[in-house]
Amino acid sequence: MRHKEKVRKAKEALEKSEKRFQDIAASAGSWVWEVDAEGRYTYSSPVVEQVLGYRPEEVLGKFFYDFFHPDERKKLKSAAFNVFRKKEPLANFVAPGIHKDGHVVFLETSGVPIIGPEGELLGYRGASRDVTERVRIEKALRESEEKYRSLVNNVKLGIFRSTPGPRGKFLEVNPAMEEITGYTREELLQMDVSSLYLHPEEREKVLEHMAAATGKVTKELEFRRKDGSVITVSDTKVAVRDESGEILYFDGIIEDITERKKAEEEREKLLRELNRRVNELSCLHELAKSIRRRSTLPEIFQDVARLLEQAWGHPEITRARVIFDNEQYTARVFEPTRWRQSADILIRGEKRGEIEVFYLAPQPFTEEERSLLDNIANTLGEAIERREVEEEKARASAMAAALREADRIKTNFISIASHELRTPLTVLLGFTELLLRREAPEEKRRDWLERIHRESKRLSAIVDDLLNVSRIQSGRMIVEQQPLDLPEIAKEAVQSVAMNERHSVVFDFPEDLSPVLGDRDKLTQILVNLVDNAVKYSPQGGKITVAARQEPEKVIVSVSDQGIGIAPEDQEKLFTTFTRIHRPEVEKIRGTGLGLYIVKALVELMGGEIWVESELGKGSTFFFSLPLFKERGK
Amino acid sequence: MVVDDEENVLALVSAALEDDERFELLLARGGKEALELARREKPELILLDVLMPEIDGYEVCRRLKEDPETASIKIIMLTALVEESGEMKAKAAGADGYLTKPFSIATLRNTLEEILFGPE
Repeated sequence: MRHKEKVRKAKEALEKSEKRFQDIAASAGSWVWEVDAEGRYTYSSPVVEQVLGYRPEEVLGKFFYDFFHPDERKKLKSAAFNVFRKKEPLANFVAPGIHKDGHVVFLETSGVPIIGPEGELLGYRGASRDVTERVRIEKALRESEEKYRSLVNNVKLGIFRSTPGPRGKFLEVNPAMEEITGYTREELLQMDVSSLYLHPEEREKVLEHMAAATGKVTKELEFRRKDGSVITVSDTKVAVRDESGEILYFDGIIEDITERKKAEEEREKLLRELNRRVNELSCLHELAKSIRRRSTLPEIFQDVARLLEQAWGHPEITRARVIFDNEQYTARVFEPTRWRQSADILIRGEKRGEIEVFYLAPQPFTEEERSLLDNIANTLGEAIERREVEEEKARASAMAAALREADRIKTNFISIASHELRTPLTVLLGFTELLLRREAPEEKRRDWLERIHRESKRLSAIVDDLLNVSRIQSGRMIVEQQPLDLPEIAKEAVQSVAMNERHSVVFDFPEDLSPVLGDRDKLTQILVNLVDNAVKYSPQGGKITVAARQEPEKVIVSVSDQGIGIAPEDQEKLFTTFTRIHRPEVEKIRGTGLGLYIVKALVELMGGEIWVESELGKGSTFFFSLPLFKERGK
Repeated sequence: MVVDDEENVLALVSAALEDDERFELLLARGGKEALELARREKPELILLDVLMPEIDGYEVCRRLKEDPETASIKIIMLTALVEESGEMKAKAAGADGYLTKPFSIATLRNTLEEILFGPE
């Protein structure tokens, strides 16, 4: 063949082979590449774009490790150059690379070294595949396996197969069974199942149950672990039978529920505690209501007794009693028993009583009941103390008020007495001064002298009254005890009372009126005073009646007028010193306010009583009683 | 003006002062009458008894002093009261002076002169 022909054929062959290579590279799904001895890309197939997002031109001249994940770059670079140095082939090397748009791409790379004529490394030639998906799935699988494994391990679900019968054994156990029981698999397969039970007799019951059951049965059992500790497990198993119905074996699972049970017990305890608190609160609430509502202590104590009977654990056999200041209070009658609980009632540190709860039948008292009882006793004690303090305060304040009032009356007495004395004195002093000093016409002098005279008499009467009051109050009043003829004294008394023609006096005495026992002067004074009042307080005039009626032991005397009358609320104040009624019609009338006080004192000194009946605007009648004179021997 | 529920006292003061030209007398027989008369006649001075029914003297004094129409009227209280607080009460009610019963005519005149005409 001619030289040109040879060259042309060689070129064709090369081109074909090149094309073949390209086709393979393109269709291989792998990215084919070549790097030099420093690691720079000298060739890259178009697949690089699918894999790393770069076009072949962008890759050429760049170092291969530039396309590694930055976190791994150093590690991978050193690993790769290690291989380069040894001029070894690279097989299925998986490493993370960075796609042009930033996401991670896992590449599985294989390559062979390119050796030069002198054995020097010229570079590497190889292919890389995108295995990201595969890597991801592998990772997920690994993780799920981990999770599953840990789940199975942590849930501590023991799975077993065992044979029936009293000496049944484990046919098969899973690793969890070892953890749960503390025995090794070998030990478990050797031992009787029942030796795991805390109470081996329980297995018999379980077997009976299983014999009768058709499906799976769950029981809570207590196991003793190898180290002696006791756990609670939930055992669920099902019997696998043969054609004749005989049990071949049990398949079951065991779960350690010790923790769960503990939590449940805690919850139960909390619920009970909650219940107790609610009960206690409602009890105390009832108690508070009773304290607020009831007005007397005995009522409250009875409420407490009733409350306690209902609030205690066994109401039908509960009885309660409150003892306070040596008195007993119950809701109903019962005989005390020796099953007794009590709490002291303390008031300001002093024990004043007890609250007692009895059971009619032997029953233990609980801690909760004890604490509730103490609570109730405290609350009751405090409430009583509060009441007593308030009562004391009220008493003290009432006493203070009474003292103030007494003081006021005393001051009042002195003030008014002073005024009553000094006013006439002013008149006396003044007019006498005038008379002495200068000349005045006869009528004037006469007028002045009359005034002096009147006021002197008035002053005299006031002085008498004041002396009487003084004697009465100091207990130095002497009262004689003589038989007295009432009608005669009455007539005499009336005569000394000044009145005008508008008034008329009527006497009304029974014919056979017995004599009364008393002091003549005092009786006269009483009648004079009462008749004088009758006249004064009926300024319009009218009839004044002096009457008497006989009763078995006494005589009742009355003096009535048809005057202004006395209102009911004023009647209480009538007989006190210096108290004049604050009504204009009364105040217009001259009076010291002492008259009735003295009359009352005199009547009572003679062994009688005095009272009044009156109606505003109609008139008044004063009644007083006197004892009958009884002859010696009668 | 003289205010007292005791007619005798009114008569006494009238008799004592009627010859004196400096004084013109008005008489009132109770608190109510006093207040009305004071507002109407506006006397220069009121002799006011303390212990009177219905309204007591201190109250009358207070009311007179609180009313701008009558606040400038001088008031002398006539009191028979024993307690020391009498003077304090009179001052508290706004009175300009006070006399204790029984008083002599001389004392009455002196006090009137002092309050009405000032110290001489």
